[in-house]
Amino acid sequence: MGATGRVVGVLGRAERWIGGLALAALAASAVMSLAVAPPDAEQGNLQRLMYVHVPAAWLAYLSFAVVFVGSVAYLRTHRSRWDRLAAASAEVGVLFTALTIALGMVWGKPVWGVWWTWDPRLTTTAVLLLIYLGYLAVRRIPESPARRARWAAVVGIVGFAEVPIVHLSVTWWRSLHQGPTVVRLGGPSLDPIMLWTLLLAVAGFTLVYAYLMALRLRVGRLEERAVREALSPDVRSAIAEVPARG
Amino acid sequence: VGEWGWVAAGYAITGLTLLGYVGTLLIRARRARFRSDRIAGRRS
Repeated sequence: MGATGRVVGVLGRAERWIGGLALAALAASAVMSLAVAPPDAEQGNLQRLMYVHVPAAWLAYLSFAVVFVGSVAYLRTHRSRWDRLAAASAEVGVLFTALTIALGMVWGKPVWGVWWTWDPRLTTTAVLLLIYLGYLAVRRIPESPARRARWAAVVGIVGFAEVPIVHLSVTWWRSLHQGPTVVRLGGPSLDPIMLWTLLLAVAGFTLVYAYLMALRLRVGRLEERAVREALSPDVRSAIAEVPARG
Repeated sequence: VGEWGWVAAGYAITGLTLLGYVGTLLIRARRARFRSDRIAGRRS
């Protein structure tokens, strides 16, 4: 069993524990962000949306980084478990990119006065969402699984170039969106309580990612088994004769 | 809508999205298991 197989196995066994931990971390994060952290001097309580908006964006970046790693590993090894890892992470990443955009709109309306504007950060994030929706579409092309996985891996690698563009868009171009406040030269520019609340939220969301990935990988394995078993015995034995690398 | 209304909307969207996705995955897992068991039952 390779490294990914071991990771998948551990994730599968620990699924409930990770879920419980994620729930506890989210509850603690909600208390910190809604009751303990102070309101912002300029935006007041609206700034509390940062504690869900920023972690959602972080998870989108993390998910697509895992898609990138899984895609590179698949092209190098042709082991299908890397492809499954990339597929699962892309689905979770699309969910969190959409959530980031939705939360940005809820924050933008009262602060900027509009739900949406063609600002560099917003536009590049929308492009990011479209790229990975495209990735998921490629995964549905009726082709041989190996060829489909190869095409998806190429999209997963090329598409990742958009992630640093999204992150740096606020420094490269004039933007309505605020600049980096945590990952920036000179250190974070946040009040320490706000920073720790944000870090707790990021940790909680990262645990949510681990739980969703464990669950999604299990679903992927079950769905693949159902498809395999639905095939006629002749087709199954023909497939079994092809050297499988999983 | 006051400040807290927007905050509540944001947190509600986050919670419902996560619950909705987890629910969808659990339903998908149950369906896949049901399909496998049904096929195995038909073959035996």
